Order: sequence, then C-alpha cells, then structure tokens
Amino acid sequence: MTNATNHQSPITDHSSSPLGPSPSPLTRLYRWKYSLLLLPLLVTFLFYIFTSIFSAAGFRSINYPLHMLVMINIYIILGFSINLVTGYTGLLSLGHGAFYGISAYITVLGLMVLKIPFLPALILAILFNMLISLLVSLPSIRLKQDYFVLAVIGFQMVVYTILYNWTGVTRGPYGIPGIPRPKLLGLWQVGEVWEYVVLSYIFLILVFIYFSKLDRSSFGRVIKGIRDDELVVASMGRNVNLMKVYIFAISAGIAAFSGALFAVFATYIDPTSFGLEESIFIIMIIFIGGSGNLKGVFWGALFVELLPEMLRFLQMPDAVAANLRQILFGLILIVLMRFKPTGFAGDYDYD
Amino acid sequence: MLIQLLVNGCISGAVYALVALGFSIIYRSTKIFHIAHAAVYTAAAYFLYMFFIQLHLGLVTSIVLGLFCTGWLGVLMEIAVYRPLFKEEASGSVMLVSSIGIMTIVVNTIAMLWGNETKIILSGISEVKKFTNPFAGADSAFKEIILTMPQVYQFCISAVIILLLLIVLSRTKFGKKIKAICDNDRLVEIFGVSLLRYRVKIFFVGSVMAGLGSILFAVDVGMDPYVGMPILLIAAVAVIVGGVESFSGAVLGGFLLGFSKALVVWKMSAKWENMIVFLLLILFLLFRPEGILGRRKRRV
Repeated sequence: MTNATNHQSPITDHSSSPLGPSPSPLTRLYRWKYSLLLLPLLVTFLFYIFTSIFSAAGFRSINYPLHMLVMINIYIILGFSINLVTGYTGLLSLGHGAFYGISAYITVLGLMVLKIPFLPALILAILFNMLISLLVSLPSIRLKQDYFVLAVIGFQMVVYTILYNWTGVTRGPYGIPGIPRPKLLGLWQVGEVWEYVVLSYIFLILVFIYFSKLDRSSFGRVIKGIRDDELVVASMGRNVNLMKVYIFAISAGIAAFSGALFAVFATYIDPTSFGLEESIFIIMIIFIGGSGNLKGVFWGALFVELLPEMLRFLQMPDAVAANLRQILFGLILIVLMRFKPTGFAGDYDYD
Repeated sequence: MLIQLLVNGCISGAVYALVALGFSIIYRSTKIFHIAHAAVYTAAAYFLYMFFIQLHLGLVTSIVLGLFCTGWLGVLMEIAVYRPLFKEEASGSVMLVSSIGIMTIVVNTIAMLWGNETKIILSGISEVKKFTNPFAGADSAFKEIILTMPQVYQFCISAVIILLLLIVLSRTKFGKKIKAICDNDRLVEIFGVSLLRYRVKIFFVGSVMAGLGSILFAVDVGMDPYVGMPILLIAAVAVIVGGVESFSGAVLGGFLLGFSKALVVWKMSAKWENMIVFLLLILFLLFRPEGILGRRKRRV
C-alpha cells in the first residue's frame, strides 16, 4: 500500500499527507532549500573531475576549481541582487554592473586611502551603494518600461565614464593594482584561495538567508505584487514608490558584497570590468537561470561561469572563445525568450 | 572656436538625426525597443569594409551594396526573432531582452570575423575645405571654419535623406500607412494592409538609415565592433528628447544632442561628452517626458 501512494506522488510534491510515507533522506535534502548552497560546491567539483579525467593535461591544481568557485559565488550574490529588482519587482535593470563597480572602487578607496580594515570598508561600500541607488530608483517611479531601461543604461554609461575618466581617483584605464588582502576583525588574514571560498560562502549564506526569509515574507509578496499589478498593490494602501526605493537600496547593498569581494580577490580592478557588457552579463544570470525564486540564480550563475570553462575544455583558442561564449549567450537568450521565458528554473516570465 | 564647434555639432547632429529617425520609425510602429539597432549600425560599417577594402569594389558600389545588406540584416532580425514573438503577442520586455540577444550575437560575430581593433576605410589625410566665418572680426584667430571633405558629405547626405524621408512619411501613401501602423497596428490590418509585409519594409528602411549614418561616420573616423552602442543610446535619447509622438522630433533631438556635445567639448573636455547625453535624458524624463514636440497629456 505504501508503494502505491509512492507512485502517485511525485518527488516534488510538497503536500504529502501526514499519514503518507516519510520521504527518503535524499528527497528531504532536495526539498530543504538551504541545500541549494551546496550546489556550487558540488557542480564545480563534478565539473573539475569530469574535465580532468577527459583532458590530456590531467588534474590541474586544486586551486583552479576553488578559484572558479569564488567567482561563481560572487556572481550568485550579484544574481540575487538583480533578482530582487528584476525577478521579484519586475523592473528590468541593465545597471547592476555599475553598482558592482562602484562598490569595488569604494572598498579599494577604504582599504588603500582611508586605511580602514576590510569590514568597515565593506560597510562603507554598502552604504554608498544604497545612496547611489537613489539615482536609479527615483526615476523608476515615474518612468515606463522602455524609458526606465534607457535611463538605467544611461546611469551605467555615466558611472563607467566617471570610473574611466576621473583619473585622479580611479587611475582610469590603468586600473588599481596591489589591493591588500582582507583581514577580518583583526584575526583572520585571508590569503589562500580556500579562505576566499570560505569568505565568499559567508557572504553568500548571509544573502541567502535574507532571501529565503524574503521569499515567504509579506514584503516579498508585496513586491511580487508590484511586478504583477502595481495598481492592485497601491489600492491595498501600500506605498509603491517607497517600496521601489527600498528595493533598489537593498539590491545595491547586496551587490556591494560582490564588488568588495571581487576587489580583494582579484587584487586588481579597472573600469572595463564594470561596463555595460558586465551589466548584460549579470542580467543573463537570471534570464538563463530564471528569476523570481531562489534556485534560478544558482543555475544561472553556474551556467554563465562554467560555459567558458567548457569551451576551454573543447580546446577553443582564447580569442575565439570569448566571442563564441557571447554568441552562445545571445542565442540562448533568444531561444529562451521564444520558448521558455521563465528561464531554466524561474517563476517570472517578463510578461 | 565656438562657431567651429557648433558647425561640427551640426554635422554630427545630422548623422545622429539620421540614426535616430531610423530608430524612431521602428520603435514607433512596432513598439520594439530595438537595441539591436546598434548591431545593425556596426554591421553596416563592416559590410562597407568587406566590399571596399577586402573585395576591392568601387566606393559607391560598396556603399550601395553595404546598405542593401544592412537593410536585409534588419529584416532578418524581424523575421527570425521579432515576428514569432509578435504573433504570440509577447510583452515589450521579452522583445527587449531578445533584442539584447541579437545585439550580442551580431557584435561578437563581427568581432570574431574582423577582430577587435579599429579599422579605417579611407587612409591618408582627407581633403580640407575652408569657409569664411561670417561672425568673426577681421583680426580674429578663427576667421575660417575648417571642414574635412567627409564632414561636408556627412552633412549634405544626411540632410538630404532626412528631408526626403520626412516628406515621404508625411505626403505619400506609404508614409501614411506607416503612421497609421504607429497609432494602431491591429486596426490597420482591418483595412487590408498586410501588417507583416509593412513591418518588413519598416525594418528595411530603419536599418538602411542606421547603416547610412554608420557608413558616413566610418568613412571619416573608422570603426571597431563596439561603435554601435553609444550611437544607439544617442539615437534613443534623441527620440525621447525630441518627442516620441512625431518623426521630426527624432530629427530635432539628434541635432540638439549634436550641439550639446559640441558645447561640452568646448566648455569642459571631450572626455565628458557622453555625460551630457544622459544628463539631458534624465532632465527630459523627469520634467518633460513627452519631449520638445510632444503634446502634454493629462496624467491618469
């Protein structure tokens, strides 16, 4: 009899009756949303082992997949940041490269000019990003879809121009080399790659906890309401404009985690990492993975980060691989928008 | 110096107006925020490069062939990507995202085929024309306005084509149908106009406009695979600043942006000339969202 009920209920069915069979441990792990956090770790290592077995060069240093993992985590955090604005609230943002860049530069400013430790510099970057987000959120109140997109692209271009041309502060196209490695709370000097993995995971877990709470909270439902029908939310007595300002501030603040982490991880930043191309790359995470929920971001970030590795594994020369990757992204985008606008694992179809 | 810069602004403004008009025709009639217009713009310059430099055809032949290919590239985008979405009545965001996809594909294909570096169509120093400045005193250092021959061509060709197109749009049956499609495309279908055929025509005309602008600039200063995006943004801003409601608004916006950029170069530095574009955009979006020529609507 238990077998019969097992056949009828699919694994993903959340409404199992109390009398039904208890799910297997594996199913329970799958349903437990925090298990998503293991996904980058798992996929990166499977990918690493797979490519090592089948490549002529054999196993490379373990630092290499760890390096990939840090970048994946950085992009997952960025994915969450843009998911809040685009996936939950329905405002298409092509300006997150700017938030990413501003926070990286502010962190570096804090570390190298003000000589403050990493955490205060991070907080400075978060606060500054939240302030800057007003430049995007205030226009978003009055502008319709296309105009808003254009205004945000404009914001992105202005930030890029400032980073590139304000050579007195940013050193412009030369970039800033020799960014010091972070020391947390005066105790933990981060230096090895695995320590960066731990640091990135700490940030990721913080962001993830915030989002898993948000997903079920009234605030989360209200902003999804803004996405689906702004007028209804307004008629329920919610201040939609204020909500949008909050959303952008929070999103920019989350992006600051990525920016700060990238700056101290790469130890070199220049404006070309934060242009419009980067904004498009960031938004691809949620277009491909899917937005409006927790899991889409993970799949999207894994995909956009591992695809170039895949091309490298197929012995593509680097000069061609960079363009080929972009072409593949473009193709995937068009095909997804045509046949599956929600992305691989998303809830929102941009309608 | 100011006069010289204003003349330069007027010349680049004419080309901006050309591209903006192309963007405006597509945007108003199909309601697609055609970001891939940037890719069409870039592709035109490379078509010219391919025909003129690599296949050694004559300059005029190459331009005509290049424009023809550019037009069909735009049409290909419409048929392959936008048309299925249009039939499914997809939302504007879906169109916009697909458009980003197309742009990424085309720009990177160009970069892959021809490389990332700047390419030049006409090498050597171009011929220079001098005009007397009517506003300068006899002892002024800026008695003469200096223009290169490509600049003269840029202005004349752009101005002629813009005027021609504006006349076609307002006087002929073709133009009136396009205007009707802008207002209500589903209704136009009832009157026996084949909407899909007209969309193809619209994309062809719009893409050729972008291509012409691109070729005019490319002959003067050369190109790289990433020239399209800044120009597209200027064109889109020009459409909004001038007023989305009319085609002449796009032209006016293009000239206005050309002048403002020239003023910024004069007062500050060429480094910041792109900033003024977005400053104008934000100012207009906040204080006069209907644009210069637009009629103020009552807010609902």
